[in-house]
Amino acid sequence: MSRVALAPGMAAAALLLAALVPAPAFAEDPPPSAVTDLVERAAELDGRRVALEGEAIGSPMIRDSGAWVNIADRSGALGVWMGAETARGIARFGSYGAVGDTLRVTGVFHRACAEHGGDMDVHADGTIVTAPGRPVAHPVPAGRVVAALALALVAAGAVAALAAFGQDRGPRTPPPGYPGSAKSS
Amino acid sequence: MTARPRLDDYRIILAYSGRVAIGLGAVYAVPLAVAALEGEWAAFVDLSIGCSASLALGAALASLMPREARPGWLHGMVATAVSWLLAMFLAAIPYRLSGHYASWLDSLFDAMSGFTTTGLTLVQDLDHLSRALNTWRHVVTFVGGQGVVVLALSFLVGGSRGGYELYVGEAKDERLFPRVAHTAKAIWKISAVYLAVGVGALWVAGLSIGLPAKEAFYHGAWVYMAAWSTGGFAPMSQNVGYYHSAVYELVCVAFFLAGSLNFALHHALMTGNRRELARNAEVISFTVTFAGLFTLAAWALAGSGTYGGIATLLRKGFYHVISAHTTTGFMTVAARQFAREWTPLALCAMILAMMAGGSACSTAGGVKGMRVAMLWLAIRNEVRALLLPSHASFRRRIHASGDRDLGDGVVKGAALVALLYVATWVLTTMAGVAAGYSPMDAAFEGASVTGNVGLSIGVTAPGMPAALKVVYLLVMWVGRLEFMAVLALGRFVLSAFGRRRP
Ligand SMILES: [Zn+2]
Repeated sequence: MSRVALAPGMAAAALLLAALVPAPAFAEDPPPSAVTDLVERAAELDGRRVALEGEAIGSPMIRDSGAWVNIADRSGALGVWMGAETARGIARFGSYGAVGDTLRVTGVFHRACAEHGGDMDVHADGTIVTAPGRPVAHPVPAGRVVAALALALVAAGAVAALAAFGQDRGPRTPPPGYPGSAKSS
Repeated sequence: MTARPRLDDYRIILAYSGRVAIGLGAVYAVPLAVAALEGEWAAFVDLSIGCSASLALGAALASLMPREARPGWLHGMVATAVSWLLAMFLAAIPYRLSGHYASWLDSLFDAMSGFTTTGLTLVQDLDHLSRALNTWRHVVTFVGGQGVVVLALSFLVGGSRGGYELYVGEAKDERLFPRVAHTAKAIWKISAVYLAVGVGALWVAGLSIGLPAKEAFYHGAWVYMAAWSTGGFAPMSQNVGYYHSAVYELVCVAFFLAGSLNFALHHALMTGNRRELARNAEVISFTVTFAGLFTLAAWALAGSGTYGGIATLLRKGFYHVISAHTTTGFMTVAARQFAREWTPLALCAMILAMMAGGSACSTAGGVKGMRVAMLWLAIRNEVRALLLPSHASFRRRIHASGDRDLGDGVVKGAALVALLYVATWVLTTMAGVAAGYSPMDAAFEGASVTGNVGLSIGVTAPGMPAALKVVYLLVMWVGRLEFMAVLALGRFVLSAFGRRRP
């Protein structure tokens, strides 16, 4: 995802997390695959070690024997099954108000995981944060606020006018051929 | 109104559409409240623009109602078709303003997909959508399921009889009670009961799978609205696959299955008539076609080894066939997994399920179980008549909330609508093939669009050809209104531009 200029504190936190989480040496790892590649080459990659890099989105879902973290790159999103402690170590998840931490995950890819009801997933054995997330502000454009206020006034006027002059002008008499016994058509 | 329409005809139609727009403006209150509660002020401003536009335009149009209005059946039909288009434009405003859609066309596509409870989406970066706008997407699909028109009917038209035509045009021709207002109220009562139970159940399910309390509530409300309206939208890009939970999936099934049942059946069950469940022609029809198609899909998937064990086969196969047959469109696989991992035979079973659809007078789409049952019984009756002596006769009936006569006129109506659905699916498939997609992909997506399902094999995407987006948008609209309202609109437009009086 986006290359963020790391605040020194955040970078230190990321490095610390990277050190805490056992990760195999980079040299042995396959290059990261895009989620669409995993979907398209699922049969070929089934059961093999893959790497995946993307943003943690939504919420971690801690279960009895592990945790689900969904990861999105630009091509799609995929569920990653990891240890609960690893999931708790992820500081920020993507949402409206934030870009989540970018994770680099290595693990075994399952086209239809037998352990997880046939879900396509990656069982992670190494997870590192390659870029910390950040909050995202959504400033309100001033021009749009003015337009919204003006339109609200117009709407209030129109509804008030309808209530005052235009109400209850609906039909009073049934039209000829009113289908009291209408069949389904 | 068989001759050239007069000015009053236009005014009546526009005035009814205006009332629907005012109703839509009122519904905007829900996402606006969420935006205020969550402090999502950019979304609040966008939504308020959509709300104000709906109210202003609606009030202007509603004031056109002539003093001596005599609306007829055709007015109601045409107004219904026009209302859905108008609602699409008004609901799409905050979509476009949010920056999550590449174009106005994409925004309109999503609004129509929502109102028709289809569930195909062209949204981008869904995982970063505001809570308010996610609420709006799901409220749109919920309102679509209940019927934009029934809403306007119950709140605005009130007891006036002109409302009945709108109601008939809305593909909900099952009358629970003789009086329209009572029917609309009964629909909202049934829905309100399910709303409370459903959101509660999904909230608890969400908590049990590890979602934080607030997230679990929002997701519960959103997923419930999409399930009950057999819509198929979900708040995350992975759809229901985001949750990785059999329990969550099962709770969803319970509510989208309920949503696909006839409201008259709900009413019978709620008033203690349990026996109706076993005798109802639509329930029997759905059970039989579902059992057959699920067996076919499971057999095909087992043969290809797509899902190793019986448990995964059941979880993936059952979930997607029932999601297709109820025309919901929730998915727990990536769209391209259908194309790459499901065999052609399994996809054929899915296409048939999507085309057959749920019950009449429900939030479901497709040909519908009532017509499937009628056509099956009609064929059986014909065979029976062949084998009887020519002077012998027997009663031709169907049981759905009481015994009804299955006369030639009824059978003809059912056959015509079924034929129109199949023809539309063929044309939609051809449009997909013309746009460069494989016949199987085009047929699958075509059935999903025609039956207002929302499952995708990967055709529907922001990058698809604009012409195909337009075709899909129109087919969703036509399919949801079961052709008649749209045909009435076509007739109306033709008569407006037809032969001038000498
Ligand atoms: Zn797994």
